Parts: sequence; structure tokens; C-alpha cells
Amino acid sequence: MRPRRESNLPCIVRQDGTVLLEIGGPLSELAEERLASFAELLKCPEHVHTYRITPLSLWNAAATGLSAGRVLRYLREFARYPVPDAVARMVREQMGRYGQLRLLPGAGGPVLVASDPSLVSEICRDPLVFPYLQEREGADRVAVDPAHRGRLKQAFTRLGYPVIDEAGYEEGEPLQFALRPITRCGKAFALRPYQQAAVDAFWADGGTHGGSGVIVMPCGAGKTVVGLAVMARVQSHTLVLATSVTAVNQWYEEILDRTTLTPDAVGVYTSGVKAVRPVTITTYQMLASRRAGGGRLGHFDLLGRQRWGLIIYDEVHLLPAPVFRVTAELQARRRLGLTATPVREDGREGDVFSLIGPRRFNVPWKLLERQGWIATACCREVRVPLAGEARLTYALSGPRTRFRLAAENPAKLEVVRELVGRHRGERVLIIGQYLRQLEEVARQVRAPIITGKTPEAERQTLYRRFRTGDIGVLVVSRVANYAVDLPEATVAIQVSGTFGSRQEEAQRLGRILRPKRDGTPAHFYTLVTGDSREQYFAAKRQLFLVEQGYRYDIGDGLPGEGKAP
Amino acid sequence: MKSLRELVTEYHESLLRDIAGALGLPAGGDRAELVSKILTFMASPGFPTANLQRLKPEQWLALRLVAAAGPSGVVVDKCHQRLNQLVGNGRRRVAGSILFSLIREGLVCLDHVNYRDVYLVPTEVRQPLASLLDREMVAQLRVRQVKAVPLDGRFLLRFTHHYLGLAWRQRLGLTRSGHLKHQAVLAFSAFGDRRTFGWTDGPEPLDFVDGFCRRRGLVLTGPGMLTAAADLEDWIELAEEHKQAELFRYWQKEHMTRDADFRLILSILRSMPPGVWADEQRLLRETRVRSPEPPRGAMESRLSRHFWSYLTALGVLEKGRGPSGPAWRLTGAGRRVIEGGPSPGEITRGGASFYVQPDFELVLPPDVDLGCLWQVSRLADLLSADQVMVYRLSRAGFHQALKLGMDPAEAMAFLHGRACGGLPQNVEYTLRSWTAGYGRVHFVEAFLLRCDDPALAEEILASRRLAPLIRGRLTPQDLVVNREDLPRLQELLQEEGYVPPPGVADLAHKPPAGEITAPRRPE
Repeated sequence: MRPRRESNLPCIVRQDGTVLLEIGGPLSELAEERLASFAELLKCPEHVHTYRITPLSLWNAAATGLSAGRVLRYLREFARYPVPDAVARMVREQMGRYGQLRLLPGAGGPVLVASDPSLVSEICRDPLVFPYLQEREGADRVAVDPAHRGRLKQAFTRLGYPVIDEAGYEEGEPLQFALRPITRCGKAFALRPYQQAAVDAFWADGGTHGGSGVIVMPCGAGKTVVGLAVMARVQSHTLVLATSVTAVNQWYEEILDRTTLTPDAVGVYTSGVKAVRPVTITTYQMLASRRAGGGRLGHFDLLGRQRWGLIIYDEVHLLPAPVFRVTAELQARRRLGLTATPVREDGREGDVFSLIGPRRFNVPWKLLERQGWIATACCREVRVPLAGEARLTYALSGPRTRFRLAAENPAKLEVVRELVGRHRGERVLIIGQYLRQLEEVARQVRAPIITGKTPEAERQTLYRRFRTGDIGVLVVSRVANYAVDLPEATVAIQVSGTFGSRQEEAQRLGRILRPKRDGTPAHFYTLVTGDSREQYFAAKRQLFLVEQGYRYDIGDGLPGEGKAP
Repeated sequence: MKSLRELVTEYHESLLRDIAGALGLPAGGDRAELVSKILTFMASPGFPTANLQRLKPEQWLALRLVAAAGPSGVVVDKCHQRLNQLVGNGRRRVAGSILFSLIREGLVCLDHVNYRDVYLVPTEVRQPLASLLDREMVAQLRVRQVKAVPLDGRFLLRFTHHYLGLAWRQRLGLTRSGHLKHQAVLAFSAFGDRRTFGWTDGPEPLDFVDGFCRRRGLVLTGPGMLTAAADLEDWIELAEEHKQAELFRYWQKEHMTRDADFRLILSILRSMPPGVWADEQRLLRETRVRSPEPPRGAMESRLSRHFWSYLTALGVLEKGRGPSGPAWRLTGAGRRVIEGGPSPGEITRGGASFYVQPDFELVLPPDVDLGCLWQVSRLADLLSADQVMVYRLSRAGFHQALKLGMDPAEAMAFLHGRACGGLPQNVEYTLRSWTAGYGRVHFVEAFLLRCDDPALAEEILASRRLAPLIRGRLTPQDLVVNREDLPRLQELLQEEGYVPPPGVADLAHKPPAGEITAPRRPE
């Protein structure tokens, strides 16, 4: 017997919970939208996208109001072959667990309430959760130590029983402000429809079933703007946690540019400046740093004393472990996580779910690309040969030196010059790993360079000049990987570098994914020395980018000159 | 096959008297008279078939037992034993009287075959009984409102092609005793969830497929590993149903011939009308009743491991879920396979049938053409398989395929021709670069003529007789020589007075001075 086949249906649901989605058919866009609501997108290369249904993805779906019945209906609606029983069972079981345990406000603190009293007796004896519970207050409820509200949720998530936290929030110190219709720079500003939808999904009419959670949006979709809009909804003192000082400065500028807040209401708390104001922006590193001698997190004590009504976690997938511990103690505050890549390299997505909150909004980047909100990106790997002499030196070198020689292939300079010439009039970012090479590139193309040694003030000036178009080409080392907002960049040329983490790669490409005014695609060039060790790393990058859904071409020269090997 | 008349004529006198008594006929007279009286009685219209309508349940059971044994009949003791087990819980000895009642009614006869007494159904009864039994059995086994369980009926075919692909790539190492190495067995762990077919952690179905391919001569046992046999490619070209039939026949040989229960269940399923589901529990009960053998232990586990599993994975049977448990039926293809299968030699050809993704993964849908699957399994490594099979192209795998004789142009043409949506540019570029890298260096067979002195090498090169046989100069002392020129060169060297020692020295050998000496021209 062959399985029943409905050939025009785009999904194949597999035994292990992965779902393959065939792209290009009449139903694939709708199926993509449906799948995104309850499954994690693992990869989206050209023809077939892969999603995975996990307990966490199902709980996130349940948090947005989806029921198991609806998820199964979606699956059956689009599945080419019958949905395996094991998958249907998992969907029912895991989604059935969401909502069995709730944290509700009680007289002396939060109370854990179970839909089934036997669950309280059974699960609360577990050594993982027992230390955080207090006396039973009834057959179906038990008091919770308020100090351990976060840890309790973490423990229950690990046990496979997510807790819906409806114990409420402490209202922070009020702060009156609004978003500007015209930014300080003089540009018209309004939330895009999907940004508005994200804010609404998070806020949930101000009720206890909203107010904490994660918003997932691709790079260039305006996560910072969503953060500002949420701040404007909450109208309270806000703490923003970012990944680097550069990102802190960008938040600072965005807040002043797009809201009615004045500089005296917005403070930056970094190693250089320590200003605690109604809206304070700091780095994860500051929050996690300890005073001399180890012990407790020093800066957290300082910041913890403030009555924050909202805490924003920028790039929440990078939240370091000490900040998780701190966050566990901040469960009575509204929490917003922003990220483009919900995948954590350390696999602690469960902790983000239990401590920051469930995913409130997720918009697939392909959808935004189709709608023209973010740019289409063309990735091209340009193979550059090693010239005769250099080839011989390469051949006679040890393995470590070989990589460096290939990365610093002098022939790449000519290709960079050619590319910069081709994209004259556009904003071009040149990214690399080796300073000597970058300096040479900068000299050849007569562009300024930003490295780790460049003082912060100078960096900001250069970024600003690049944004305004004063500088057309900017050479940057790895310092620009994260949270540098350069929306005007349309071309990135990577001249060297090993394959970084998945997020690093995504962020690097994210630099150029902002929509272009004339609708032209963004270009990401990677220069790789042919027949060298550099190809090994390039292959990894290639794999990552095609899995992310980017079109990836390889050629022995620039586009239009490509030759088969 | 004997008729009632023939059989009654051969009865023992005491049995004839008992029958006559039971039929209310006068029991006097000699044997011939008794036979005549009984046969006259039995010649009455509607006898004995009309008696089929008046049977009690235990008589039915006994009649089915005898009928199930076929025309050769069932040995009396064995039949009594089975019937006592079925109707008397093994204690009451009721079988004899039940069977006697059937003999009296002319529905069962006693015969003596090969020194043994057997019960059998006379020819007159056989046909009406068979149709009655079939009707009754269908009514009893039939189950409605069954939901088909989606199991892949091409599993064994796909598994076999994957196995053959691995054998072709020389990935199936063998132990000294000729079994697959543990590492080779592990290579199949990515292949689907065997548990859905009822196989647990045992060697199935790898042992089965391995046995089939070896017995069929599709693979050869080479030194330390399996390799592809010469006619493997011809087999790959056969029609899918033909391959299915071959696998089925191998299964029959391996499992069915040894197990009467398997034969019986399959024959019962065959007698069910097409498309009708049979309830598993009732089917097993029917099998127990009809089985001429005493029940062997754990029929369920035997069935699950060797019957249901293989026949569903082969697409012969279809599993369903009925109101009272599992249900089964033969598939259309299954019926054809059992009844003979299609003619061999038909060639399978399919259209574009899989995706090549830019991340080098090949996604093969469940209904992929098997020839295509085999080609892919020669080129790429399996990542996972259930309904969908996912392979990945790697440089090592691709080079291995080229090394084993796959033509790079053929490989590219295959991928181009069969991939839905064509080959992504990056994959095509990479495959071409892998192809270009293949064969950039290769071994050339040659000999070195090593001289103890560069001057001697010069002299040989200057010689009009020797120089034509020298193909090049590698170092001042090493001259390159073709293998086939070696005897002639040796001869000429000898004539010129240079006598190389016998044999071939290794590469590190340095000739001591005088080993190949300067020419000593004749005085």
C-alpha cells in the first residue's frame, strides 16, 4: 500500500515531528503562515523548508491562543500524507499541559493553581519544584514563595509543565511620553501594521495574560521601534538591556529621535557613564559584572532598587546566564524580549520561555520580504585564485598559516576595488577579520576603517556619517557584528573571517537587509580563495545562509563573469 | 479425492453396523448388504448436502477442521486431539462422537492412507461446503468502519535499494564469518522507524534483505566487504511489482513454508472479497480452528515479527484500525503478487522525482521511483528516512562514487534530469569543482632505472640502442622506463655490458658502485 497522496498539498509531517513544506505551490504561503504559528522554522532553503514541532513551540502556540485541535486541523489541512499518530499525540499531550498550572495573585503572594488537584499532589513532590513551594491552600492550590516565582516556572518548564503566570505585575514609576509622528530628524514616523500587531500581542490590553514575552522579527524589521512602542504603551520607568555599548548608544539615539522623551529622562549606564534615569539603557555585561571579590552582582543592586515598570531584553537570544538568574528575581515586572533568531547556541530556549515569557509574536522574514518591508538579499561567493608566487608560499606552509594566507590573498584587493566600483553610489560595508588586510583595503578604496581600537566617539561619528551618506564605503572589523544599525547599507563585502556562530552570521547579513528605497536587492559578497582552506569555512557559511533561505551563488569572478570550474 | 460411495464401500464392518444403527437401518446382514443399505439411504435426494444446514456448532467446528486439511485429510488421532482442545478444554473426550455424527450424516468419511486412518470430506460435499464455509467465514471475519493505518508499503523495496546502494559503494563491511559488521548494521539505523511495522530491536528486516540480495546474486562477498554483482543494474531496471514479487517469494520461502499458520492466514485473507477488512482477533480464532497443527506458542508474536510486519512493509497487506482492534486486508498489488505477479523484464522509468536543495540535501518523497532512489543512494549519504528520505551530497561520497566507476557526466545529467526545479547554482558549481578535483592526480605505472652515477645515465641516454626505450629522466641518476619495455631493455643492457641484478629493488635502494657499472666495451 502506498500512503494516500494528495499531491497538491505542500506539507509532509514526519514521525519525528519535523514538517517539510514544499515551496512554490498555490497553498505553500498559507501553509507557511500556519506552520509559523506552532512550529520552529529550522531551515528554509530554496525548495523545501523544514519546521519542527517541539513542546516549546506548542506551548508558545498555546500562549497565543491556538488549541491542539486547531493545530491538528492545520496539519491535516496541508499534509500530503496522513499525520503520524505519534505527532498527533504529542500535539494533544503537550498543548493539553499548557494551562494546567497557573500562577494567580493570592493574599500573601502568588498562588499556584492546578486544573486537576491530583496534579498538585503528584508534581509538587518533585525535588525540582518542592523547595519553592509553601503550604497547600486547598486541594488544587499551593502558595509560592514570591522570591522564587521565576525559578519555580523554570523548574516546571523543565518538568514539561509550563506555568501560565497571571500573578500580575508591579506597576512601575509612571512616565508620560508618546511616539512622535515626525521624528526629531524630520522624517515621518508611524508603526507598520506588523509592528502594531506585535505591540498589541504583547500588551494584551494590559491584562495579566500579556505583558511578558518575546517578539521575534527578522533583522531590519524594526525591533527597536517595537520596543519603543511597547514603552509608550506601558508609560512607566523602563530598563533596556542591550548587547554592547554601541547598541546602547543606538537605543539612546532612537529613543530621543522617535519619542517625546527628553535627554534628562533617558540615561546610559555603562562603564564610562553611569546615569540612572526614568529610561535607563545598559548592557548585559554591566548587569552581570560582579564587584571585586566575586559575590553578588553589584550593578544589579543599584538598578534593582528602581521601580521599573518594564524591562526590555534586546537580542534576548544572547542573554547571558547571570542575567537569567537576575531575571528570575524580576518576575513582577513587565518583560519584553526582542530577537531575530530565537535559537540559542546554548539551547536555553526553555529558560527564555519561562523567565522572559512565551513568544507573543513571530513574523516570518520571507513574508516581510514579500511585502517589501525588508530587502531581498543576494549572496555571492566570489572565488579568487592565489597568484603563482602566493600559491607556492601557500603550498609550502603549515596548516595554520595556510588559512591566514588564503584569507589575506592579495588578489582579493582587486576584486574589492572592482565591487566598490560597481556599486558606486551605494553604501558599501567591507567586513574582515585581519587588521592588516582591512587597513590595506581601506587604503586602496580610500575609506575610513573601524576596528576594536577605534574610540567609541569616533565610531559613532563614522556610523553617523555613513548613515547620512557622507561616507559611501566603510571598512569594519568584527566589532560591527552586533546591533549596529546601518539601514542605508546595501552592499556588504566580506573579505575574510572564519565562520562565526549562527547568530553572528545572521547579524552580519542583517546589516544590509533594510528595505531599499528603489526596491533593489541587497548584496552580500564573500571573497574566498579558491582551492584553499578558506573554502572549508566558506562551505559552512554557504550552508548556513542557504538554510536561512538566501539565494547563494558561487562564481570564479564577479557576477556576469562567472565561469564553471 | 474420493467420493462418498467409494469411501463407504471401504469402511470396516463394525463401522458400517454403527452407521446403520445410527441411521435406523436394520443392522443385520453381511458387509455387502450393510454397504448396500447405507448407500441406498445416502442416495436419497439432498443427501448429504442438505445435512449441512442442520449442524450444531461443535459439528461445524469439526467439519471445518477436517475440511481445512484438504483432500489428503487429517489423521484421526490428531483431529480428535485438536477437537478436544477446542470444544472440550482438553478434558472431555467428545471428539469421537462428534466426528461419528458427521460420518453418519455423510459429511465426513474415514479412509486409510499410508497405514493411517484419516478423516476427509467426500468430493460431493467439498464444493458446497467450501462455498458455505467461505460465506460463513467472510460474514464472521468481516469488519466495517475501519480506518486504514498509513504504513509505507514500499518500505522493504526502498530498504533493499538503499542496501544495494551501500553495497555498490562498498560500505558494507563483513566479518570473517561473512556477516555484516556492526558498523555496517549501524548504517541502517537512520532508515525509518521499523517499530511501526512491528519489528523491535531484532535483526529484521536487514537480515531478510541481506539474505535476499545474496541469494539472488545481486551482491558478491568480496574480501572483507560486499560488492555489487554484475547483473545488479539489470535488476534495478526491473518493474517495481516484479521486484516486489521476488521479495514476496523470498519471504514465502524463508517464513511461510515453515509455518502452517502463515499459510492458513494468507489463504483466509485471499478468500476474503477484495477491499473487505478482516478482524485480527477473529482471524486468529479462525486460524486456530482450521490449523491442522496443535497450537504453537505465541502465535501473536510470530505473526507480528514475521508476518504482518513483512507483508505490510512489502505492500501485500494493509493494516486498519477497526472498532474492536486491528484489521487486515490484501492490497490489490498484494493479490497480484500472490497470484503470480507481472511479467519480468518490464522497465521502470519515472519523471522528475526529488528535490536537490541548495544545502546539498536531496529530499525524496515516499513514491520516488526506485531506480532514482538507487542512483541517489550511490551518490549521497542517507540522513534520515521515514515517509521521506533525506540524503546529503558530500565530497567524500561523490568522489567514492566516481572512484567506483560512476561517470561524472552521467551523475550530473542524472541530477539535472531528475531533480524537480533543477540543480541550485551553488550545488552545481560545487559538484563541478568536485568533479574537476577528481583525477587531477593519478598513478602511472612506470619503472625507474637507477644508475650509480649520473655519467652512466648520460651514457645510456646517448646510446642509440638504449635511448629509444628511456621515457624520461627523473633525477640525474634515475631514468623512467615503461613496464612493457622492461624485457627488451634488460636484454639490451645485458648486451651492452650493464647487468642489473635480478628482481626489482625498492624506491629507497641506492645501488652500490659497480652494481650497474660503466660500459665495458668489448676489447
